[in-house]
Amino acid sequence: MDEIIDVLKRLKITEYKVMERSVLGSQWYFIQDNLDIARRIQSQTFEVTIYQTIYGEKERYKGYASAMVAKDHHLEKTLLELAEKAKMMRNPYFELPEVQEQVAPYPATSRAVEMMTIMRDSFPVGEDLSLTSYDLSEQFETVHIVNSKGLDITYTYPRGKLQFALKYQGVSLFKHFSFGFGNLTELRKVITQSKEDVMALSDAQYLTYDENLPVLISREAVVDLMLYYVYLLSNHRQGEYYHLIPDGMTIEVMAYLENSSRNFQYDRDGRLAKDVVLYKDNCLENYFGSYIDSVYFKKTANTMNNFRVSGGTAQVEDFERYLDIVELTDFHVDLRTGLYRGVIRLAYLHHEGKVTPMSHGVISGSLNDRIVLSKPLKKYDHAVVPRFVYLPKIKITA
Amino acid sequence: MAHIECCRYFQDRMDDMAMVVEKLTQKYDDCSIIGKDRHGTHVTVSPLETKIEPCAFESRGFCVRILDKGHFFEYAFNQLNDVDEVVTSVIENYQAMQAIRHELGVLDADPVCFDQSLNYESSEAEIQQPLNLEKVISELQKIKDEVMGRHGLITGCELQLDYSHCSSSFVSNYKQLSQGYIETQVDVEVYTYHQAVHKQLCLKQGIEILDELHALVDACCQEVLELEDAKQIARGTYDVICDPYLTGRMCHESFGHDALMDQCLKGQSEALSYIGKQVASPLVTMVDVGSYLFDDEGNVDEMTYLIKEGIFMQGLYDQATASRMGVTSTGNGRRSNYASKASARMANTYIEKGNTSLKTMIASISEGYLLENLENNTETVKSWQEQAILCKARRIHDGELTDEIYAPVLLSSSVLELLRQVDMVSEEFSLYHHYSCALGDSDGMKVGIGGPYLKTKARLG
Repeated sequence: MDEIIDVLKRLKITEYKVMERSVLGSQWYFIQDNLDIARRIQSQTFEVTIYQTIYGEKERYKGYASAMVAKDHHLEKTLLELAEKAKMMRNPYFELPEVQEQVAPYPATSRAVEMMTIMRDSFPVGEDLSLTSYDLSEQFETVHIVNSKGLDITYTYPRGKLQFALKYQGVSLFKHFSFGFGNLTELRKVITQSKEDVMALSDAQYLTYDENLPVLISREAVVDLMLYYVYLLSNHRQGEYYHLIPDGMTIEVMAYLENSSRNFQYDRDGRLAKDVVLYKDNCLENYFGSYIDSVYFKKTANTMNNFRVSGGTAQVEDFERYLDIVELTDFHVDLRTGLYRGVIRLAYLHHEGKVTPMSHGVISGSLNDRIVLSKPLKKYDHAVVPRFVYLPKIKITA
Repeated sequence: MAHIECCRYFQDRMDDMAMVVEKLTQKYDDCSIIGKDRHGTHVTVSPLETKIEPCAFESRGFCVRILDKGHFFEYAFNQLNDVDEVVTSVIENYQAMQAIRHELGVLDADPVCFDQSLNYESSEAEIQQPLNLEKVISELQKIKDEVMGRHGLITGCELQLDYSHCSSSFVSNYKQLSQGYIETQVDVEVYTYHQAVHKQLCLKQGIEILDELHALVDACCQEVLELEDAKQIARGTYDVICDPYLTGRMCHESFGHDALMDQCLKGQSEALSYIGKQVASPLVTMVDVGSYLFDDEGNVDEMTYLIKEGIFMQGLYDQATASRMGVTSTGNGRRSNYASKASARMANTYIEKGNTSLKTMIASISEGYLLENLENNTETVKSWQEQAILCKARRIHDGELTDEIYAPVLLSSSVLELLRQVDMVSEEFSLYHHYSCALGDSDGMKVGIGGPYLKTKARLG
């Protein structure tokens, strides 16, 4: 880092940002509970952004260009070329972020061994319900950002993921669990639920769909659905579409969410992440985006790592009879248009106190149609969202 | 004209890479090392700003693979300045991982044995012109301004150009391989208040891609405006013609992912049970072939027949999976970057062309639709089962293509249903090299998709 900054100063480059990333990662790939391959990753990279103030007849503009650089004999040439590239555009003028408070880093402890132990102990060999394979990865990344305004911050965050495939009576189910610190209680819950799901799936009936049946979507798919509304407050939509957000919805971004894989303490510009309300009481409070987006929006734009969507009123007791879709494959929400579609892997039909597992059928619809959110909320990796959503205009092809 | 070679950084370190292999082979049964580099420039021009960034997935580094008593370990790193330092790091990290393995009492999977054939290859591509960034920015800004003023309904236009130089060098006790190529991609996104259309084009060429940009922009503008007036389709099963992009997308997402044999080994696909069985109409032959000389495990690429005249012939293998399953790798062991694990990944997957003209195919339909893919996302369909693809459908009536557009149309037939009912395959054929494949949460990887027009029956809704 120091070597790069010295060269920048020597070249009389006055506006810059240097971001250093150091990664230590471990990965384990298992077939059943036998280790197929173990991997270790160690890397260090530098990304430099050079800013240029460009003077027009009446106004000032800002140009900027970034590149990955290596500390070798090409460094000086690379930085000079980058400085030239930054002069090629005229964006609205802004000042770089100033000094930010250095906060204490989160403790970063490996939980990989404990997680692998839980996986091994949760699926005893010889039982009908078996673990077909699993992959575990864990990564600790340290980011150091320095800019020409004196900003100098460092943060470390852990993140990982566990993917596993289960089999019961010839039926397979694939699960994905992302985490920050590797919360073992959450992992045990995911395993228990996965076991229940694969057993239900082995007994599932072909979905027969009645158009008058209310359809709820619950679990992780709700995070994808809610992300559409969060993105209405981003630079992707130029800040012009927030009135598409349903009445009563509250959207917040959170700097920290327990066990999230996205607890980055600072954003890419080195600004401290904050808890901020983006949308509440049908009013736009803030946008989410980069520091530079604040210039374009002329309103604060905050980084979005973790988010919370609330404001619903519905309870599951409001529905006498309903289809609750809990597992979707080939599921996608278009963040530009709000169109969603997916294949039902597992749903539960609730009727007169009886719960029947069902499978197959394809869903589609638009999030610009009416949507009803549940009052209870549920936390997933980096989001807190309604426990379920009711989509009155969903289309099901079964 | 400029020659594109494997990057200088690797060329200068081939001897060091060979030394690492030699030293580690003294301690372990076998060793190989791959260096992978992708560097370049990404330009974005949007209504809000213009910016220059590193190219997508920019990275440079190495991955050492050691084989110890039939079991393997990989160590990925990005600085090779001192051979002994790297060798020590590999040994220390392997020992640390072994300690965890012993603590857990974890068993290793069955031993593997790798191919030991001797080979040397090198590639040089050519481009017409190197990147002229000023020209690119000026051209993109001009197009963006023109599009924004083209129609009152158009509210935004974003253009991106990604120019990258990709290289890889592989050294083992048996091979020294290197290759390099240029990859340039343009992305165009045009949106109205309710609709958005995103199209891409990727060539293994340089700035000459800008010559193709105007046609791509025109196609986006036309489509986004067509979608504004699109009708809703009545649910039903129809005679349809899938265009080459939709055909390719299905070959990749709906069929190809389940034909990756490491997925079978992990119990996530049942494709093995279909080998030798009829999975498609006899008119359908599907292949996979790389645009590279060798994959990321040092295996030379060869064309693989997935489906031949409707019969599922075989899946795609990386080296470790092939070794465990007692067959030969198909040269599909690919890594997103130096730090990623090699796994079985598709390269260019397509259906071979047939001998019927598109005109004849349309004329054979009294009531049906010509289907075009409407999505930019990639989602893997599991087990060749039902799928959900959003399409744009152009009505065919009395053997003629009409101007009636229906969208969004949900195609829900499974890929096997669609392939088995193919009764015409066009002589017209297109390949698209810009498709981005993300397997699980891994970084995206460029693959090619495409094929001919296919006439079949599909459930639409």
